Amino acid sequence: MLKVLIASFTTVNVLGQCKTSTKQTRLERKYKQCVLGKVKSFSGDFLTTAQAARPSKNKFQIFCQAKNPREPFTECGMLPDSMTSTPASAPPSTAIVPAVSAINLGKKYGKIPVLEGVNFNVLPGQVYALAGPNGAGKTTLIRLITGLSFPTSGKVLLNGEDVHTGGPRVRRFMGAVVEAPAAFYPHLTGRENLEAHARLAGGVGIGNDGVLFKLDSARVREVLTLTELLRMQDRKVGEYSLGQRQRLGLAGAILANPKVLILDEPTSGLDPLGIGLIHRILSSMASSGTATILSTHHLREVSSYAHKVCILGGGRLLEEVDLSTRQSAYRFRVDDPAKAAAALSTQPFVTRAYARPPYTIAHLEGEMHAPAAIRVLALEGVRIFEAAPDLFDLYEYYRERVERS
Amino acid sequence: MTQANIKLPGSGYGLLQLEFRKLIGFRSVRLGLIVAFFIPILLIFAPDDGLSQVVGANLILVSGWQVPGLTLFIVMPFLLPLLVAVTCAEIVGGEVAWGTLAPLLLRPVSRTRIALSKLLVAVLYPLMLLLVTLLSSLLIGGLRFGFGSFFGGTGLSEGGFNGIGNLEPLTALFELTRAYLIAGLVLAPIAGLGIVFGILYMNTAAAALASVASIILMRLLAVFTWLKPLLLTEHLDAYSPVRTSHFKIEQSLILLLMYTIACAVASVALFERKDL
Repeated sequence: MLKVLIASFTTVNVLGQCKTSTKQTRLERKYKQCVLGKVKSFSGDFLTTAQAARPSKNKFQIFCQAKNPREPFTECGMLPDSMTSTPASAPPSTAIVPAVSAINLGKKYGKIPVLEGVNFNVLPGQVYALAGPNGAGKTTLIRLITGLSFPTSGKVLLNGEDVHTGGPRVRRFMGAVVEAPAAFYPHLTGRENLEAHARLAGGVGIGNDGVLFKLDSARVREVLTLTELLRMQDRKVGEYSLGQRQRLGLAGAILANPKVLILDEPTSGLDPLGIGLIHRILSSMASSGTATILSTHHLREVSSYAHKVCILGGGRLLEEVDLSTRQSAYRFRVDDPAKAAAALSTQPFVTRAYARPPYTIAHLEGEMHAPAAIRVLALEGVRIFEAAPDLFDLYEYYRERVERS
Repeated sequence: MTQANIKLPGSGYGLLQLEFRKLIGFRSVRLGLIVAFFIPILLIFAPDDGLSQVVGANLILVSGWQVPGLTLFIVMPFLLPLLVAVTCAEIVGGEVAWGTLAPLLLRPVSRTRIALSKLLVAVLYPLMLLLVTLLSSLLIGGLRFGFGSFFGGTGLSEGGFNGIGNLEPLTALFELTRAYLIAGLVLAPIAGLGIVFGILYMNTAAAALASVASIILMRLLAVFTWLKPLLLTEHLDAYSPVRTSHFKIEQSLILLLMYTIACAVASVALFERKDL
């Protein structure tokens, strides 16, 4: 069995030109990647050789060989960015590779199109919600993104690799629940189900710092604790309630600390406390860099933590709503909304201001400009009765958008 | 944690172990194993003239070594193929019904490996059934008649149940083991058919029906004599030296193996591009 201490890499210089030779090494043939160089210094006692490869722009993989040189190279980890050095000649790359890219994605069942020309990108750390009426294509889209279904046109990239042609290793960084409630083997306990998933995931996960960790019973216990299912761990899943199965589904999805999390209606069947728990977990995962895609009908709920909402209708992407640009509007209840709007429109930190009696709505460049806006109104002699964030009503917006389509 | 024991993604052992646990969880498997256990007990109390009619020979049981042979003659033409077809259809269909096939495919395990694991477990199931049948028959036969040498046959060698003289226990055990192993090979293509149709229809009932219908159709196609050597059903009695068909055992085994390989190839090909 291979053992690896990733933290013990001391000098790593893996960047450089790919080999141009048509003669590929065994490792290159196996992983369809170019090997960039040997890892020079490796203080672990367990290995004789380690090589690094760069499958995509900002990703480095390490392949290790056990003491016995006849054993094959095995993918044994990701190299943290901090351990790579950029040669002086290479221009520094600042582009962020989307965690998920849907490119001109389409799906037909027979001659009937259920999804057409869907394009979007989800960046690491973003929460991307899919909304739309029943039959809009949300579930089909989720099944295409996860690789369960095959597109009739277009492709899906996970961390830069095609999910349908890249083989099982592409799914190594993905966690997903594609059914509500999440499905598990009913004759196994919750713990046994998660242990089975841990084995199928290869027995290791990759932490946010790029360090490998074991998917052992401690990790299973950790995710069960996180989803508040620890006391149910030794009960058969057949005895779980709908909400408990949903939470177990999320526990399974986050087990290997995925870089991409895909969830189909994760709060379906949950009580308010359960919904709050799921929101907290998803927000925490997003803040640690996990890209999350979820389908939902609970728009007001999801607008509190999603970054973007994709509105689907009739198998097409109707609109992508960037919630982060819509949350900085403020409303002021004033005695003269028109005068207040005119006064605010002249300010450099106000992108747009208009009267919506009895309010004046001002889109500010940031929340920090709210006191300045109040000061401007006071100087203009406008009486202010109330000042509050004018939260974007996603539900109303969605309703109008779907009715219009 | 900075140190980890590395395993290959989706290690075959883990997948096989999981598939086997799922198999044991099916009600049809438990029912099949119970039936396999009790059939010999039923036979031991059946009247000799009734049994003679069933096996088509004058049969008087005198030894515990004869009971497994008799049981095999009773269960192989219909019961075991049916049990195997239904359960193997459930290996895929049951997983679809539970909704657990999608979560399995979301893990970093190749579809080929999943399909082959299911096929391997499916092929093992007839062996489980046969093992239970053999052990149950030996147990009940031994208790009733004992395991000494006897004048007669196990039914699974030249001479049938009448035999060709005195039969030693070791020879009897060898004949039984050989026949039961061949019976396991005979049932492997039927298990494969269950998996292929399970993947094709993603439904237990449809897949089981398709498997059984295929077997019945092949029996009917036997009217075309030129087609006979290629029909799976013409080789299902390969375990018996007293065969109704006239193919050599080697011919039968090669054909059964080809059917099983064809089922494996078809399962993988269908599963690789199957939409879920």
